[in-house]
This record gives sequence, structure tokens and C-alpha cells, in this order.
Amino acid sequence: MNKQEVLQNIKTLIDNGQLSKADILGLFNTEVDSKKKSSLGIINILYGIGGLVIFAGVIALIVQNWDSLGSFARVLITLGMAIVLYISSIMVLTRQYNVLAQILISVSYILFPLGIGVMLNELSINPEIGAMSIIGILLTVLAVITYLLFKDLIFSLLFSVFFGTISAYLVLAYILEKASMTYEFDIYLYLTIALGITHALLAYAFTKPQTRVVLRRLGGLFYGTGTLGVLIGALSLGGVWDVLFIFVVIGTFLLSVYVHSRGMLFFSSIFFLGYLFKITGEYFAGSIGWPIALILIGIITIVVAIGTFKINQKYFRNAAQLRSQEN
Amino acid sequence: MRKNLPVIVAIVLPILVVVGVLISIYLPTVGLQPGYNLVIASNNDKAWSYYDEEARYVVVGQKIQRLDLKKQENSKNIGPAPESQISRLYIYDFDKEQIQEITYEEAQNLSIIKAGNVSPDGYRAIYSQGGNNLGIFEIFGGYSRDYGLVISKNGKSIFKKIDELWNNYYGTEILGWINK
Repeated sequence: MNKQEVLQNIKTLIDNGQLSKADILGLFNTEVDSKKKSSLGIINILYGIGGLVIFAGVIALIVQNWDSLGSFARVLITLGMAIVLYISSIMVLTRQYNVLAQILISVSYILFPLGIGVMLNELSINPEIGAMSIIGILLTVLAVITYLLFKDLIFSLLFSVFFGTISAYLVLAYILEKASMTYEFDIYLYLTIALGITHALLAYAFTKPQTRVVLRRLGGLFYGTGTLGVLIGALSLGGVWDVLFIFVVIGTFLLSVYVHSRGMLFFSSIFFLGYLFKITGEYFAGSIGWPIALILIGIITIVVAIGTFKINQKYFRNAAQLRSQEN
Repeated sequence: MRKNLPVIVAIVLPILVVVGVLISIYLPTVGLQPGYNLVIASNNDKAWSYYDEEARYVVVGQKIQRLDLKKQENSKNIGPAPESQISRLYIYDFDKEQIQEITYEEAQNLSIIKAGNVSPDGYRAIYSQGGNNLGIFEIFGGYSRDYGLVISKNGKSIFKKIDELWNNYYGTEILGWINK
């Protein structure tokens, strides 16, 4: 049987659904692969440490010499460094130095707001919340464009969502400040729920089967942050939301199974228990008494823990195994 | 388009929330602008003088008058009242959206078109805590702790923040309305 015949047979088995991608990948020499992965892992860790050292160095330089530095030098070591690292990350962006590029762009994105703040301060401009909103939006646009131009700079996508989220809060704070409604915390909570849904929708888009593995991992992170946003917002609102929350948390439980998100399942369990504590404290502790309430909460906690474990076992374990084999 | 629908909805959703807040705050205030300016007095709620030569302001006819208060018998305070307790006069300019202090002498030249907190064109002014422009969010409660003027007419209201009088919540009195 020659190579062509073997490949043809394999194709037939795949078409019939008798052979999966994981089965074929499993035939390769995993020992060699794991050694290669291990050496790559060490290099990536060193890149990470290097990035952290650069960041720590810049911070130490700023803190120690701030008073002795002139305005130009202050802007140079913050905003200038951000621009240099941004350009460097694009220049080193190859398959071999991908992790290094991610670290450089991340440090750059952390330094950008700091650098702009320093520049405005040196120009004696007090950055009010309106100006901060505009800076946030501009950084969001920068990160989105960078990602669209350089799809391998995945951390640019991560920071675009981060900057976008912060910008939304800043714009709302600006509007409320102008309307003398600075203390309307409920409106921030509604925005938190909306942003949570935004994160979850982005996660859904990122975790489609045809997307890259790294994008799917980012999607997993956003499922977690999205769930966190929706549940924090809904639980904190109170009033009519004390009733609505139970439907929200059941929804996130079911959704976690549908989208195979462990993060969503984890936060759903935690917030469901938090909800039980809150409701018991507010409405039932007075009538049935805390000792009985605590016993009931304890029993429900165990039931929720078992339920979460079972869902994890039944729906996520196989999916996780398949993902690890694909990687 | 359909392929990118989750991303599009994800981006549009927070924008809709922010725009919704913007509309719910500013829509009820469209067209709310009194045709007259306000005369306001701070620390104007005293019935007795606790220091020497304390006074409050009242509107008599169309003029503002200084009303000297009788010193309370058991008060041991000597000398003029502290700066923070002296009654002062202000004009709130709705076009410039700013408050300006005036002297009693300057106030003598003013002609009060209508005394009290309801303007000749039907606006009601109250010095209070802000936060009655919550739109749809009002059904869920909540309030703001800023101080200023709440101007309302026909169920619509607008809040004008005034920082200068923040520490004089109970003593601030709206004396009347003057021509712009």
C-alpha cells in the first residue's frame, strides 16, 4: 500500500466520521513535540520575565528620578517609551517572536494612558473626565486598527476590549457629571450588565470552531468577564432585580453548557450562592431565623457544588480533551 | 453581515445604553428656559439674630428690603455674625447659567416682576438636591447629592447645579424674578 492509497483510505474514514483530527494527531511522535513545546515554553517565560523587567524598570526610573527630570524627559520615558515599544512589537512580529511581540505591545498599551496623562500634566492641562473619555476612545481605536492590520497581535484585541470597556464608563461618567447626576450608581450597573453582554457576544464570535486557538482562548476569558459583568450588575441593582436575578443566573447556567464555558459556569455558581445569602439576609432571616437559614444555605451550597461538578464532568470534560488534542 | 452579527451587536449595545441615558436625561429638558432671571438670598431663614446686626431680605412690593432681626435675649454672642452665616443676595442668570453675588445697594435698583418661586411665565424654581431628571431610571429610585436649582414646568424639569450655595441648603430662599 503506497502513500497515496493510505491517504485515500484515511480520507474515506474521515468522510464516514470514523476518524477524527485528534485521532490522527495522536499518531505523531508526541515526545518530540512535547520537547519542542517545552523549549518554546521556557523561551516564552523568559520573554514574559523580560517584559515585566522592562515595565518594572520604567516604573522604578519614573519614581526615583521624577523630581529631577524635566518635562521633556518625563514625557519621553512614558509616552515615548510607549510609542517605541508599540513600533518594536510590530517590527518583531514574526512566528518565532510572537510572544515577545505580545509582551511589548501589552507594556506599550499600559504605558500609553500613563504617558498621555504625564504629557497633559506637564502642559498644565488637568485631564477632566471628558478628555479622559476621548483618550480612552482613541486608544480603543488604535488597538482595534492595530489588530485589524496585524491579526497576530492578539493582545491588541484584548486591550481594545479593555480600553473600550473603560471608555464606556468614562463617557457615561462624563454625561452624568454634566447632568449633575454623579451619584447615580444604578446607571453604572445597567451599563455593567450591557458591557457584560458585550463581552459574552465577543466571546461567542471568538470561539467559533473555525477561529484560531488563541482567539478561542481569548473568547474563554471574555465569557468569564462577561458573566461577571452581567451578574455583578444584576445582583447589585436590588428592587425588581432581586426577582429577575434568579432568571438571569439560570440563564447563565444554561448558556455555560451551550457555549462550553467553564468560566461562565464557575461565576454562575458563585453568584447563585451570593444571591441566596443576600435574599436570605434581606427577606427570610427575620422570619425563619439565621440558624435555620444557614443550614438551608449550607444544603443548597452542597447541591449547587455537586450540580456544577456534574455539569463540568458531563459537558466540559470531553470538549476540553478535544481542544487540548487540537492544540 | 450575519457572520459578524454578534460583534456588531456587542459594539452597538453599550453605545445604545449610553445614548439612552443621554436621551432620558436631556429630552425632558428641551425647551425649558425661563424668560426671567432669579433673585436668591442665602442664610435667609432666621427669625432671630444670634449676633449683632443680623438681617434677612424680603420683597415688599417690587423692591427688596433688608429686615433687621431682633437679637435673641439669651444669646451671648458679641459682634457681627461669621461670614458663613451672613445673609447674601444673588442673581441667577439663566442665559449664562451662572450665579453672581450682588450687594444690597445693587439690589435696590432691581425691580421684582414677581415675588416667590413661580415665574410670570409659569416656571417653578426650587433650591434642592438634584436628581429629578432620571428619566426611565426614576422608576428604580436613586438620587444625586448635588445642590442647585430645579426648574420645572408642565411636568418637565431641569437641574442647574450651583456650587456656591451648597452649604446653605436650608437657608437659601428664592425671593423673586427679574427681567433678563
